[in-house]
Amino acid sequence: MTEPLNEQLSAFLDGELPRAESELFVRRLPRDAELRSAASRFYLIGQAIRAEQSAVRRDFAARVVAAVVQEGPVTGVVAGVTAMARNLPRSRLAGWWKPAAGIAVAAGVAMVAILVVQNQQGARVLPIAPPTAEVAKEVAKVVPAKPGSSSTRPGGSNEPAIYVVPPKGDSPLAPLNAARLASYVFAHSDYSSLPGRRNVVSEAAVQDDSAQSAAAEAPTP
Amino acid sequence: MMPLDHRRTLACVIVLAASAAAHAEEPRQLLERMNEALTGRNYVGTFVHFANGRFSTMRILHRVDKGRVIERLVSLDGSGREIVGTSDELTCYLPDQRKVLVEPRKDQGPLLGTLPSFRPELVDYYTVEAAGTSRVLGHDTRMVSVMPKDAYRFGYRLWLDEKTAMPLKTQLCDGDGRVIEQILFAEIAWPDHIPNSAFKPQLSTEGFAWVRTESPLRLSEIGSDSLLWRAIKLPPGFRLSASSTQALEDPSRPVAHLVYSDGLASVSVFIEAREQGQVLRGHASVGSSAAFSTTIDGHQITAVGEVPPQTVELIADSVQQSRRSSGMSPHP
Repeated sequence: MTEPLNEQLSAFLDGELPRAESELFVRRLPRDAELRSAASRFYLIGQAIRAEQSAVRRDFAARVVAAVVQEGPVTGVVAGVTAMARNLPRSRLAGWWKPAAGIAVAAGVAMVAILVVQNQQGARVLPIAPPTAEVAKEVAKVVPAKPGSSSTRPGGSNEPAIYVVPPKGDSPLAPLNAARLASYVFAHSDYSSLPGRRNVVSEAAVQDDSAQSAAAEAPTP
Repeated sequence: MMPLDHRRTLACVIVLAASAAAHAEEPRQLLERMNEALTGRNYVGTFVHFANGRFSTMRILHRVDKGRVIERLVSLDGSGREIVGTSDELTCYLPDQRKVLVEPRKDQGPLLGTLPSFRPELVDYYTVEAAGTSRVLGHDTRMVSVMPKDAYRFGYRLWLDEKTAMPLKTQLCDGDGRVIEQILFAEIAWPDHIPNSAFKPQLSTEGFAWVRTESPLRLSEIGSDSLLWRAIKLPPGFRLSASSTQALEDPSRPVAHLVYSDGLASVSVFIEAREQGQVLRGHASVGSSAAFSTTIDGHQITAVGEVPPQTVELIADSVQQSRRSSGMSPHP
């Protein structure tokens, strides 16, 4: 991902890209898996940056950024993050999570860790309590590290990894099969309002893995 | 004849007055105009939908011709899936599964959805505000914010085209303003005429299985007290708004369907006899919709809705089978 493309992505997600460029971008999106992947990370990070959360430790934010960067093209993500944080002076881009960027950025990035972990588990964003470093640690604890999965210990620290990329795949404890769930949401869509309805209908129209089951609570025989 | 300078001044005054009038429009009036735009005019557009960490691009066509509405939603991401909606039925083409689902249309709302009219009591649960202006896709837009006052429901942020009131950008947010889902139009047009050919699926359905869902029967038509299921704990403002019995996948297995709504957000509860095997309990998600399933009295109870996970869990867990149709109480 080049920086101009990242900036284009940033402008597009804000709705600020000129119409002609938006159309070209949308034509490219379905064909370019890397672009879609970058856009997803970019979007989450961008939204997190905008979120004004309460205090989370800066070093935690930095470690999370390092972990997120490990997931994909380093320059892409870092450039993307910095482009989203356009209000920061250019000279600060390399270290944008430092104090100059403020607690809000750090806290926002902390939220990304929660989002990523939960997304890859198939769960969705939990909306209630703003995540704290302590919460993030708890989340990391319940995601088992597997050989080959990426974890991070920035700076060679002996501290335990606080972010572990969990394995993909449906939970064997899924409470419902995807087809049954899809039939439910389809039936529900008649009673949904915008944008819930749009979401439901859209999901029916896209990939088969749209119905994702999260970790179920203890099943009993 | 009025001097040229006076005419120019008058024109400026008229333009400014019109602009001021538009900005003076109440957020709720804007939302009403948005609903009219979504339901009452032709449009063709491509939008990007982001939810659950994934992007998808889709094309929407919507035509109103002599009062009859037809719509087509096409996935541009390679699955070939598409949905065609008429006034009578909704047809979902799933080429990857070689299947076509056909459902009777139970309402006349557009595929893109609308917001219900704001009942006065909704102010107890949502704050509706104008949130400034900005440009989206080269259009002047006005932003309207509909934020929840508690954690049982989501809110919306809508960027409405100044001229048409079409929502060019829509975000589903939690109570802290964090975005759960975003829809952003990349292109949109309002053609006077859209030909019939634009609504024909671009795929061959030869060899596909066609699955038709019959019209749901009302509970009263079933006439059995055993189907009187109700949720007894509901978030404030939610109440039963619809109930029916449907055959979703297997006609021999009727599913009771209850709908609870606060007037804006809605949760469907599905109740069916439990299959043999494990008792299943847990959360799931589809896009930004949450689902929670549990087992009560030998039945599988599943709540689905565009609400936070704790809301579907609260409602599903409180479902009881009773001969009494009343007894619902607000939570807590």
